Amino acid sequence: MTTDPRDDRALLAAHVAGDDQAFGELVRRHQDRLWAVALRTLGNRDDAADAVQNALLSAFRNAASYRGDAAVTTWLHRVVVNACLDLVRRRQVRAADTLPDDDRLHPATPRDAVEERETALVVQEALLTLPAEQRAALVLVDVQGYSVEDAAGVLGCAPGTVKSRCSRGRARLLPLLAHLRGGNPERLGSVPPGQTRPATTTPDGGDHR
Amino acid sequence: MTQHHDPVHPEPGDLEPMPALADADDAFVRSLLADLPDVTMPAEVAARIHGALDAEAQQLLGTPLAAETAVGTVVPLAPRRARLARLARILPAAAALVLVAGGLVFGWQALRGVGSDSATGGATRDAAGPESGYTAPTRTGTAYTKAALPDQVRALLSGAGGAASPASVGKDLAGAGGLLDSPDRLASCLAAVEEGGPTVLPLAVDAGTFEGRPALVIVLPSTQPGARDVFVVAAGCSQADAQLLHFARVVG
Repeated sequence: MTTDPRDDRALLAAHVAGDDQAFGELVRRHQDRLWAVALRTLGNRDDAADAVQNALLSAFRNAASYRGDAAVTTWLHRVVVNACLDLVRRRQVRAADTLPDDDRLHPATPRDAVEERETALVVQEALLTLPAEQRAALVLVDVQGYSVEDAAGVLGCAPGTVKSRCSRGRARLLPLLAHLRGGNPERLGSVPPGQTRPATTTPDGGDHR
Repeated sequence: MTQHHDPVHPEPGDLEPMPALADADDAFVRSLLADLPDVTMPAEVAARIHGALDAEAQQLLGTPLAAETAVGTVVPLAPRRARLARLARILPAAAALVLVAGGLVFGWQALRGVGSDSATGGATRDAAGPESGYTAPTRTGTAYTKAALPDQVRALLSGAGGAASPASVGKDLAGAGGLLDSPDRLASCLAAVEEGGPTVLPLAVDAGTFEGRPALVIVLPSTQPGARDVFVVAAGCSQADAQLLHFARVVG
């Protein structure tokens, strides 16, 4: 299969102009990252599929409203994240259906695979305990590796808001994940989520994102 | 640390006290999150989403052309020509015969077949059909409707479209059927439908009615694999004006 040489903006413009192949190509380029964001934010495959589909249909219909003030991929992520947050608000995420039983999640080495899978399960479960906005910020910044600025563009808020959501989210996660700290006898699970926990090591510990 | 709140839409969580997380703890949580395995969109999800987008594209193209509120009214084609041309500008290499530049040499033999076929009103098909994907124009007299069009087109392509009685053909389809009696007129109409693109032999051309109005159904290969583009035109279809009544993309 050949790769379409047009960049994202050109593809979106072509779609608006009536090219019936352009939007599909655009989706193919970004679908894995959009999927990852939706799956990590919603925690189950069915909800993620619904959210991504609804979001992309919305983007398809409203492509003409794209003003070009952000990258096309940022715009697509924004639409998907908004769909995810809407879904979270509308319904209780089904806890029993939390993680995809997907081989692609699991490395091939059996022993490591089991360990990593268990860790991933715990981390994903912990993520799902967070308020949706904190979760979305952490998924974008810490899981997907977007810059705070890019995440702010996706979430439609100030970079400082992203930073604070990430900080609060990490603070909530820490007690839920502390037992995963390998080789460290200290268990850090004593602070309930949402409560301020004093700095334990460095005096200037702060948010660097 | 300064707290930042979205001034427009603060969430409840944004109003919580800002935690003071140690660097080591912060890095520990970050590393766990960063180490979550990559995921790729499952094939079945991707297929579902792309299918939904294709359906949306079909609806988008079909709706304005369908002229729901004025079925039977000739829909001005000009603004949609480019889009229709794009749809028709496809050449599945083995399936269609590309006819040469310098003029539309659209199956004279087939058209002659139509002429003789018209004497009986039957739905005979050109013997060359199975080889080229092309079948000679027919006049089944099928009462095409928008809702049933996909199934009716599939039946037409499978040869199960049925034959009309001579009486119904002769009277009710006089206008659209007339297109089939004149190779020049039919070629002119096909040129309008395929405007801007290479000439592709239709998979089927059938005279019948559409929503009660005499019409010609033209089935072309689609840019979408496994699909067919269906153009329903009125009896007055010509290169100057296709008089498109309806367009639909039929899958399967």
